[in-house]
Amino acid sequence: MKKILVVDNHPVMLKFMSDFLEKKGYCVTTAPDGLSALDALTSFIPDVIFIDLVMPNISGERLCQIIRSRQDLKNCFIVVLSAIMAEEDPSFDICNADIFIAKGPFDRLSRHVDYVLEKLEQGEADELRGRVLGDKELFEREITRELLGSKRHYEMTLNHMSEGLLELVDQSAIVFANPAAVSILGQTEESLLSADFAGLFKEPAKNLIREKIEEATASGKESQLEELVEIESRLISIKIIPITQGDTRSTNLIILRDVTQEKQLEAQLQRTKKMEAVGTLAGGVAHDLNNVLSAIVTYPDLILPQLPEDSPVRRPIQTMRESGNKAVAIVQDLLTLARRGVPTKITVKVNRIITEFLNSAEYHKMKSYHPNVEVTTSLEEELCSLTGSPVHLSKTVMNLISNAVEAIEDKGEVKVSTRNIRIEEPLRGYETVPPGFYVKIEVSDTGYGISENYMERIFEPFYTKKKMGRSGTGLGMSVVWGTVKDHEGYINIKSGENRGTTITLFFPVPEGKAEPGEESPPAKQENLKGDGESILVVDDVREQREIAYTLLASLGYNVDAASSGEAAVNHIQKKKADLVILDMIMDPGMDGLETYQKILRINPEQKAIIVSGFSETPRIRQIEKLGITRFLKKPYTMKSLGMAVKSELQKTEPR
Amino acid sequence: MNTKDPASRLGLDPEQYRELVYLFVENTRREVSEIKEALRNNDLEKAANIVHSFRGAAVNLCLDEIAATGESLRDALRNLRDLEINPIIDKLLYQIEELSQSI
Repeated sequence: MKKILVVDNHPVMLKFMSDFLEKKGYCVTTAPDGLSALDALTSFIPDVIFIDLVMPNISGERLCQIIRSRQDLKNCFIVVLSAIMAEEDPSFDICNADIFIAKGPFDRLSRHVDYVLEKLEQGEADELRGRVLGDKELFEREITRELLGSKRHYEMTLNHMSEGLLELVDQSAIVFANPAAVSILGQTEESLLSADFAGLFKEPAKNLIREKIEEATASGKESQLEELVEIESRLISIKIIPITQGDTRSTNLIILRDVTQEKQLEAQLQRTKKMEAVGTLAGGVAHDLNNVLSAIVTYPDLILPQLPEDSPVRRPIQTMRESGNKAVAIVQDLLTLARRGVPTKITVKVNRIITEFLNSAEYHKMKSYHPNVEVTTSLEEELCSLTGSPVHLSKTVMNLISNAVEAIEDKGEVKVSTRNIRIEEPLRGYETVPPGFYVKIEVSDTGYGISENYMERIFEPFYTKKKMGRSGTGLGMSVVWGTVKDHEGYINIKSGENRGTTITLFFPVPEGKAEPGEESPPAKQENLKGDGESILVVDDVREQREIAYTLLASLGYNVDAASSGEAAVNHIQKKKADLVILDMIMDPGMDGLETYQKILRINPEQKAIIVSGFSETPRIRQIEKLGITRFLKKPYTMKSLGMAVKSELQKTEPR
Repeated sequence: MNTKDPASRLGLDPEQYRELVYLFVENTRREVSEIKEALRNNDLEKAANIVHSFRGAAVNLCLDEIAATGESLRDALRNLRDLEINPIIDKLLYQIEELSQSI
């Protein structure tokens, strides 16, 4: 006995078909709309389905498509039973039906139904497929042109809106889903239709959604789920709008908004703001520390040569110098983090930086503590050059590789790679990398990984899982962040506890700039001694003036000192200087820029070096325009000061 | 109403036909309320679908006068002849009541 399902919203048709078919011995189930039909089809697999086209909830056309998408219903013979042509295109391709019977007076209708069933009983289904029976009784959809026009308008809107829109009946079953909803919920339209909306979510979201829908339906007022809920790794907000039209069944519209990207951007913004605040604080601290450290770092250079080899204070003074140098390293890292260090814009070859670090004594020393860690490289031969600071980029590479090696407790692998890469679509991750051309530096390890909680704070200064003081300054990852941001780059991190870590840096480069760049050669160590050249040291801090004076005098220069910009200008008016060493920030009175501007009016060819550990970028840029290209960071050593002075004095080209 | 003729025309026995007409009357009363509400909500598609539904059932049952009224209502909706719609609905209600009385 064949099983038959009849789906029609009119009770007269259901009653007629039901009586007619049962009398002929068929097992008949009826459903008043598409949704009820889908309900019935969960437990009843019919041989033949009669479907009306115009029905509430899920239309006949849609129902046919859903049935055709279900594997368990693939053998069902679908008969569309309707008085109209399919709404816009009567083709069977749209409906996915096997045959079309036009509704008309019951006598004619029953003859057509009889004919179809007989053919099916005789196994002649193929003869029926694609036919229209009683087509004289078919007429086009009786809705106005205006109606179709406005329908298309609404459909267009629904199909192109970014919010997902669902229609629910009975507070649970989905009867309509627009394309955005299908995309947000990550399921096919066929599987969504008739599904329980709340049931798509996991607990506790499932219960929250149910309660909210019940509440909105009872009150008749729209309602927003306060919490964001997660589905298919997306965060979505849900708004419920109850519709009251006097129908016996409750209807709700559900508006879904995918806020995943928004939340990611918020988190990124928050992270950036936090790092900026920490950077500002760090910069301020670094500025003060620089002045304090100058004496500790510089005087040992002056004292030690004067001490006998067996002096009992030699060792403590050496220790003092070493500690001072460590403190200077921390301050330099803090300045990088502050992102207000003296800007350097020279061509940098990243591959060379990596190779140099992997050949350095520092790397080999670190590696000796981790003999079972294998470090391999895969460096792109024609890697684009970057324009930036080789010192900071070196530190970044060093920090990433050191961290990777130290993240492995015993045996493991660290891979370092570089690539030229073009990103076509925004690359979402820890940060969103916009489309463009980049140099990619990637360091991955097989170490203990970073937990999700830790990930958010990985770049904060002194936030470390390593033992403080054992290695590094506690600012390694902060320096990475600062350097990447200074170079307008982006960071991505993939990690998980005991799953290793991959950190990828993206530095933007102009596309096509694949020519290997020439890195500025490192300054050569040569004789620092002067030849009696006159130098004017301008600094508002007495200790700084004394240090510079003592160092330069010991190198054989004729040194004068001025305690302010105004004093320096007066001095130059009276006495020429071969070189002026100018502190950038002086308070009160003129700063380095203003002082130099006034000195240039007296001597347009005046050579000068700017000294600063903390300089306002706009002021530095202005002073660069005046021709000063050499900057000296505080605190300086005899070597750094001597080399800067020598190089500037030897410079022959016009400013 | 004479149910014998249309019943025999449709190949149904009179009792079965009466039962279907009764169902039709009950349903059309509800549908007329729904048409009115759909028009109040300016939901022309819903109104048109309901008209289509009862008109189809009237054709099924050979209720030619009611089917003709359905057609008039359809035309009025199609051409947005607002003034004609209510009188046609009133006529439909009258016909339904008459049909109800006759069975």
